[in-house]
Amino acid sequence: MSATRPRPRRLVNGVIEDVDASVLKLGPEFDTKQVSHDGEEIPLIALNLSEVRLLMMAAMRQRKRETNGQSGGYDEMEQDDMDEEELLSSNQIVRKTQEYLSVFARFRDEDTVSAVEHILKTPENADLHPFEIAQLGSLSCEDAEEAKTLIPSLANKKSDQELQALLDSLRRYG
Amino acid sequence: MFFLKDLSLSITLHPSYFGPSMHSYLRSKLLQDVEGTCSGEYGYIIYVMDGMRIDVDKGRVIPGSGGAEFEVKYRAIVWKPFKGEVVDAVVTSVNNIGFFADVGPLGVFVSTKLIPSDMRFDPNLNPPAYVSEDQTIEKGSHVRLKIVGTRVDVGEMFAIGSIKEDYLGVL
Repeated sequence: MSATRPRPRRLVNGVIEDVDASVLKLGPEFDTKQVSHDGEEIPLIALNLSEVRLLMMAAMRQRKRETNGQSGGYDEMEQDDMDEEELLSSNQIVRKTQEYLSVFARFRDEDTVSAVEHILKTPENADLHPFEIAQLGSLSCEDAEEAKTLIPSLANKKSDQELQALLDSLRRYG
Repeated sequence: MFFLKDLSLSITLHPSYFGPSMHSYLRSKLLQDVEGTCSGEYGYIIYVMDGMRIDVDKGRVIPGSGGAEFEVKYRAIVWKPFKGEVVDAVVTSVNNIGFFADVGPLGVFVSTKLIPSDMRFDPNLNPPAYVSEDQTIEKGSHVRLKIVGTRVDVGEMFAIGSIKEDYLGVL
């Protein structure tokens, strides 16, 4: 083992990459410019914990409805009441993720998640990276100093007052 | 960090599968092969958005074998941990060299070297815990940690974390 620890590097197609979220280096697969299946350039989509939790619950309900529908099973009413417990996957990785989201998602319903999205995705915040926006929606922070410590790339992008106002608005919802 | 990513998978079908339900077979094979898996490039593929368009191309018959190769394009929710990322976690085990915590599907190890020096491991407590004046870390505790390194092995990821900085530790 060498005495000085080398910077973590990833070899991708022969090009050495440094991955470090604190300076928003997420590797080539998570570049801010993505190419969709239609060949269009689309922005990187990062999601906060609350968004993923709701997205997955809705998608799994839909999937269950479709499989049950095909085998002629339950009636509509019963299925709409499917709560988080019943939607748990048999796949361990998916299940662990669902349980994690159920514990740590700050904003619990569609209306609050939407409100949070509106607070975060304003024109004033257009200079924020999707990673930063998702972290602000996932990690509950009391004050600007905490947010800038946990999401260091924010330090030079927002003043403490701007950030504090943002965090205060978010805290009204969860 | 969670992302929505456009991904594709190449599936080769034996000719016995050619027929009217070939597309639905390809869709379910996609889910089976990809959901709940882990790779170094994308991290964990958590969920395939199968409610959305899943594009299956026309397929290409493989010369010599008679099977056909299909390029299946889909959108998925992926989760990948990054060095430098702060995440919340649930402690799963505690011992004298550190503690393990789960961040969803990923296990993170926080060694004593990356735990603040005012926290001491007390094996006599039930359950054993790291204790300081104002914090206790034991199995089941919720902690905020920073990922300091990740490693990928076949189909699995491992990570090292730290709570030795400001605003990290018990939630």
